Order: sequence, then structure tokens, then C-alpha cells
Amino acid sequence: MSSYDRDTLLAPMRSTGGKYWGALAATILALLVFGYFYTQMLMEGHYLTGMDSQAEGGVPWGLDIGAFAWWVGIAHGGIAISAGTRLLKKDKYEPIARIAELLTIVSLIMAVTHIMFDLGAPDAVFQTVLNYPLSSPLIWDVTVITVYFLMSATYLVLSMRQDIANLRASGDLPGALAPLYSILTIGYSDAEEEKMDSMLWWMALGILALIGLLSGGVIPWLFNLQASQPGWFGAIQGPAFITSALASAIAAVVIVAAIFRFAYGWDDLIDDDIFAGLGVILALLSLSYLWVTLHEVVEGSFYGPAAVAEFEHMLTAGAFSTPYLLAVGGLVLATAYLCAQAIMRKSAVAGTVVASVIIVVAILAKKTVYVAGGLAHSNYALQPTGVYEPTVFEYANLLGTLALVALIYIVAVKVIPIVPVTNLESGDTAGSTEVES
Amino acid sequence: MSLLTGPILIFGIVLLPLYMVILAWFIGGPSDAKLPAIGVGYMVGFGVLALVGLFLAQVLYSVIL
Repeated sequence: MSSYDRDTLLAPMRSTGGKYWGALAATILALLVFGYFYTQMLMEGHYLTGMDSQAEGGVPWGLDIGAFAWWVGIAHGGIAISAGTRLLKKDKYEPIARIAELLTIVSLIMAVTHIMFDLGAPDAVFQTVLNYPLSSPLIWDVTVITVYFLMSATYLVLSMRQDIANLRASGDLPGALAPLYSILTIGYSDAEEEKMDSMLWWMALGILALIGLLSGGVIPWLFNLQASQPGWFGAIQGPAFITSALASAIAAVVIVAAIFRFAYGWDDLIDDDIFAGLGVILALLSLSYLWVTLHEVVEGSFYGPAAVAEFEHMLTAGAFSTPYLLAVGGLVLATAYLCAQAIMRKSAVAGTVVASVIIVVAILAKKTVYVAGGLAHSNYALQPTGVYEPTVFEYANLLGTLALVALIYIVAVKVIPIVPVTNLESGDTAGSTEVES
Repeated sequence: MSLLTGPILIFGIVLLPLYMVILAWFIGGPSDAKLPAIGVGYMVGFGVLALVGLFLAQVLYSVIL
């Protein structure tokens, strides 16, 4: 692997240019907009979101729950890239491993934040945890997402120890944050590398296993165990969730990596080869998701149970057809482009990024349609067929979580080395020590 | 569905990777108990931090509104 000089690797921590201030200003503006609408919702009540009108044909879950499932999916990208780098020794992805790990952690926080938005008052999450209703799939989600968060955050901290210790020793870290660095390197010694590599290897394996169990099991159970919603019920939701989660996750990593490459002129560090590789992985995942989507449509269109057939009609030709068909169309186009790149062995960074943006947006739209559409067409005799249109408050919530992610990155680049400096400086790879297993 | 279905699914099956990781840390080589203990300490610390954060959100909310 190539080696890089320290000035290049620590550029985010050392330089604060116009792009940085511009990003910060845009983020603060977005947070102010979000704060305005969220404060209104807190003062006036949750009814402003329109999520309380189920008896009138509305739906109680919409963009917030769609965004919750979307953020959980995105959370898989970071840790999948990092764990894959470690387990499969794909060291070419090492420059984006830490950037991606951070995406996992912030995405999980945003997922829980959308649950908080959906519940209404901020204290509802704490009350739910206190009461811990064992039979609710929602608390199963909260439990496993919490464990996933703890494992991912611990993985990030453990993988940074050597870097932080080395950079502290050379005086490259801000002195004002010394107490934080002391916590992050507690008990550190130069002799721990072999044991730490082994621990990170096991953690990477455990997190990858948990990704399958979470997005292929626990998250879909929130929906597909409910026979009262024909659009949700069925075992196909497991494959549908895991493929959509991984596709949106890799697409999000492409977008974040591209932003860093643009912001710091890291064309050599985050090179074209990384985007080409991610583009191929994304093409395969999007293709898998489209295949599962086809299953969903065929199930309802070929002499399926009447309720399922009506739900599918609603998606493809009824009230939800515009966002649904736009989302599927976008996925088809982006996937076709990425597949063409892979087949022709030619890759354009800009094209891969645009395809990734389309995939990320399309999957959010499709998840929201899936959530709201399932509730709008319920088997409950007393519940009329519903309609759904996201309110400005829900859009503001989404803007708020996107801005919070940006803000965390903006702060993080000044606090931690956002790329693994020690390994990239020396040309070593992560987990170069063999693991005794 | 019995009340135990959820806990069995979650704590008996889904969280197996977590148990595997902690077990492997302590019994896997090279032999060292200090680093695994630090790792578990971080996990517990993050958990406490998350709970305290939620609690503070509740307090803040009840004070403001």
C-alpha cells in the first residue's frame, strides 16, 4: 500500500478553509430551520405532523419511520467497509475506513432520533426503555440497535488507540482536548498491537454477523410480523431489508468519501480505484434489491390474496404509484449505469457519485412508501383506506438529522484523525497481524 | 406468541455475536485480560452515556415545557 505524508493526512485537523466555513454555515442554517419547526411541534403538539389521524384514513407512521429504517441501513456501510478491510485484507479501502466507521455511529444516533420524532415528546424514548415492553418488536429493535451502536462505537475507539497515542506523543493533537484523548487511550502500551488486532478482528466478525441479524431479521420483524398489514406481512421482507440496507449503506459511503475527496483535494488518497470498487459492490447490491422488489410486485399481481393484490395495485397504479415508480425507476437507471461501468471496466467518479445519490434517495422514498402504504391499506375493518403526504414538519425532521450528521463530521475532523494516520503513513494495513483463532 | 418469544429471539439468538466477541476477547490469544476488560469498559461506558443522554433529554423537556 502507498504511504502518505502526515501533512496530507492531518489536513482536516490543521486547515480550516473556505469550504469548511461554508459547510458549517449551511449546516447551522439547516439546523435553525429544523429547530423552528421542531419547537413548533413541541409547543403545539404532535398532531401538527398529521400522524394522529388514523381513524380518518391517515397513517400513524410515515417519513419518520421510513427515515429510521433508512438510517439503520446506512449505518451498515461504514462498519461493513471497515470490517471487510480488516477481515478480507482489502487494504485499498483503508483511507475511507474511519470516515465510514463514523458514518455508522452517527447514522444509528439519527435512526433513534427519528424514533423520538415519531413518538412525539423527547421523553417518550426514555419511558419506553424504562417500561421495556418485552412483547413489542419495537423494543427488540431498540435493544439490538443499542448493542450494534455499542459494538460499533467500541470498535471505532479501539481502532483509533494506536493513532491517537502516536499523534499525542508527536504533539499533533490539540492540547485542549487532552482529557478526551486520555480516556480514548486509557491503559495504552506499545506492546498491545497484536492483542488489539486480534480483538478488532473478532469485533469486525461479530459486527458483520449482527448486521445480517439486525437488517435481515430484527428490523423487518417490526413490519413483517403484522398480519393486519398485507403490504408488510411475509418472509420476503428479510431479504428486502438487508439488500436495501446494504445498497443504501455503500451508496452513502461513496457520497461521504466523495465529499472528503473534494473538500481536502484527496484525489490520490481516496483515489478512483476506491470509487470503482465501491461502484461494483453497489451495482451487485442494487441489482439484488431490484430482484427482491420484483418478488414483492409479482406476489401481489399473480392471483395473490385480494388484500395483497390491492396493496400492490396501490403501489404500481394507485395512490402511492408516483413516488413508488419514481423510486424504482431511479434504482433501475442507477443500477444499469453502475452495471455498465462494471462490465466495461471503465469508471467515472462523478457518475458513481450521482448514481449513489439516486440510490440513497430512491431507497428512502421506497421505504417511506412501504411504511405509509402498508398502514394506508390495512386489514382492520374499522380503519378506512388511508392517504399520506409528508408534512413540512416531517421534512424538517429529515433536514435536521442530515444537518446533525454534517455537524458531527465538521466537529469530528477537528478532534480525531479522520483517516488512520499511522497505517497510511507507514504503508501498513489494518489487521496485518495474523489472528490466533 | 408467548411473552418469552421476544427475549429468546433477541437475547438467545440475535445477540450471539456479542457473546462470541466478548468470549473470544478473553479466551482467545494472545493471552491478556487487561485489554478485553478495557474493551468491555468502553462498551459499558457508551451504554451509560446513552442512558444518561436520554434521561437528560427527559429532564430538559419537562423543565422547558
